[in-house]
Amino acid sequence: MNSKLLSGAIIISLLSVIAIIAPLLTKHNPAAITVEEALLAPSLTHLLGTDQLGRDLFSRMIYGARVSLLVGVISVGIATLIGLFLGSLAGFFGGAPEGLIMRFTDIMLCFPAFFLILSAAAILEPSIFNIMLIIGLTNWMPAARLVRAEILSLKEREFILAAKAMGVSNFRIIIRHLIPNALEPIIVNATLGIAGAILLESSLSFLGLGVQPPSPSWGNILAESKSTLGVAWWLALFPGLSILLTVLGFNLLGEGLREHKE
Amino acid sequence: MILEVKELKKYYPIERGFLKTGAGFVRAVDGVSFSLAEKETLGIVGESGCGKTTLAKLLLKLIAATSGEIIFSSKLSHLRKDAAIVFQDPLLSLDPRMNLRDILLEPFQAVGLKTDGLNINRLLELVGLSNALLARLPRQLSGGERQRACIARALALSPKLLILDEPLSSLDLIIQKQILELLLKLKEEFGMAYIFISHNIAVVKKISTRMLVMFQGKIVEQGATDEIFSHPRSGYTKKLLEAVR
Amino acid sequence: MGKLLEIKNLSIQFRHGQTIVKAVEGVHLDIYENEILALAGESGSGKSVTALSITRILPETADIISGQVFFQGQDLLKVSKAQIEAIRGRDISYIFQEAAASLNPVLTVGRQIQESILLHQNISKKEALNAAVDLLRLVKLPDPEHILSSYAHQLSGGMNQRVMIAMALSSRPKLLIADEPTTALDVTIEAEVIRMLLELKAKMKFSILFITHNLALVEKFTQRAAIMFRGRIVEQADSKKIFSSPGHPHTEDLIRSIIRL
Repeated sequence: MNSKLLSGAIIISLLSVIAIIAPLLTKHNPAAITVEEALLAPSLTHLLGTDQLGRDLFSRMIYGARVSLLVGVISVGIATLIGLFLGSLAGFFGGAPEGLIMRFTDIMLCFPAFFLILSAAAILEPSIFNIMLIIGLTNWMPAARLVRAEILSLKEREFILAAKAMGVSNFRIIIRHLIPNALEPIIVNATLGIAGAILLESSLSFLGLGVQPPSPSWGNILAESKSTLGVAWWLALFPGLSILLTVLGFNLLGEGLREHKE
Repeated sequence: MILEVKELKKYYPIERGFLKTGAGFVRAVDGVSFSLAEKETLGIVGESGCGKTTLAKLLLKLIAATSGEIIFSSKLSHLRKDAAIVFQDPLLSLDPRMNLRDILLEPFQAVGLKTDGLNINRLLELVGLSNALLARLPRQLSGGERQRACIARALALSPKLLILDEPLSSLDLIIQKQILELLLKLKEEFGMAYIFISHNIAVVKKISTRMLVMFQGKIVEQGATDEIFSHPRSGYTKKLLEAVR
Repeated sequence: MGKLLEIKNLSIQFRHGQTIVKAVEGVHLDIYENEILALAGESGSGKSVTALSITRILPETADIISGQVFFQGQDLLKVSKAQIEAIRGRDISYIFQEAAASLNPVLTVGRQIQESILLHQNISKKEALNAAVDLLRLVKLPDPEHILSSYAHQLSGGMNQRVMIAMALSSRPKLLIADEPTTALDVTIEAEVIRMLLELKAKMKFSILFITHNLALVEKFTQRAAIMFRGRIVEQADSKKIFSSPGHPHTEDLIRSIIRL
């Protein structure tokens, strides 16, 4: 195990544990408004201070971690599944289906992704579920290309020919032989993708198109901090650092996995 | 006859340039005709690029022929079940992520047959593998064990025809001899027909009763193995024989 | 005949993470002037590792733990890096199994032969090119000018191996180490290439260390042979004697496994 993989794994598991046991870590309700406690600096009662509505930042941050991680994992899961499906169809069957799927992929890649997401987010009602769906539906293209390339090189291999000679069905060849053998680079790609998805969610929430208040997300905490930046530095610093740390963690994990397999 | 091949051809277009316009053809298999009797061992000899592997793939309908006919007798009516193939490099022809048990189960599953440990143990016994190896992945097996696994897998559905495409070439010398002996033993036991493809004319002599010599996609000589060895007619066959004498 | 190269008590091990694998153990090997010596054994027996250690081109994970390699009065394992680099490719050159892989795919064959000539001889580029043509004639390649302007992928396996031989001989080496030089070739080409090597050896007076797994070639083409098994040389004698009265059970196994006509 290399150091990148190890440090990435530690960061991500730590964050995941915090997100999962969030209610046990704080006695403050992340949505409880206490106006008289607004904009308090970090102290022993409020570890990371409070926001302009007097909500405890620490508890909002750790509940926000749930949102960020969930959005990251699920949206990349959606993107990867779509990529697997389309990529393996294109790679395995070739010919017209491949042309159709890959041209569609190219077209999707032509749109500046962020504007695609922005317009979709503007039309759809902003909710966590919709955010995941939007990010998933606009980010499957690299996965599809990767899967297709892997399948293309795998399907020429002799063990696939051997399976065909035995009469193994196409469906079974894809499921049993091709995808399992293509999985390693796909997982690496997905891990790196999670970092990107978390950033996207934060950006959308920052712009007010993502997770809606009062649900806390790192992005919307950051967005709300704009107005009070001059007096409450902690409202911008901690969510910013968390995003940085998480993205770093997933990137380290992905890079580490890639190196580990080589 | 369980198999008859008539004027079989496989041409690959040569694609050149941006528009991939045809710049002629590679005649991988160029008008090949022969037949195979039940329980016969037919040797196919030729050097790299002579079209022997393409011919094997054509016979199993893994690729489509450009023209010509392959007529299967009723013995080979269910081709995927009644015919099997063993390739040159066992490491390449086994899924690197499947263990030996899954590898041996696959032919049964492929045709929708239920199977149990008994079948698997019988296959292992046939090819002389220990069932302690069942949980191993291909890369954890030795070269000889891998090729035995490939042979066991090919035998799973009791084929009437076994195509062996350079089954010894990737193996160490001592293992080659052992695998050759295994193939001779299996043949005696089950009496299936063999098509044995090799660049090594000495090996073909050991195993086959009738042989074809291929050169640049064509059959340059065909007949009883003994006859070809004692009275080679084509210049190319003579050259092949000279190289191993 | 004097000794050209003398390997004494050579042991080499590989590091795989925490584990150490002994690849070569206490090998003694003598190569005489102007002879062809076979080093035969199965894959993994240590024959290639032995050959690579002669000019210290082992992979990084290999350690030479003991031994000497005497060549022209000096121990090649002890000489400076600059000295061994001067010897490698000049006095001792190699050819390998995959000739096409040893050639650079984006440079013409001519350019590569020319460069290998210029590396060891102080002549003009034009002269080097002429020398390249002569070398290609030497290895019996038809139409040398055409081949000089070709790329490796445009030539057949046999032609590429001849090009490699031409390059290896360009410095007029005293020892040619041929590591499975014909294994990737067709049998009809194989015999031609080996016969040509033997002719060149007689003409240019060099020695060949012929590494092979194929005992039939040992019997047919070499005078002396060393048989390797699990990192050790189990037998070193006249080829004829090895085949008529093998001195080790593994040699017997190997000989018995030759599939004869």
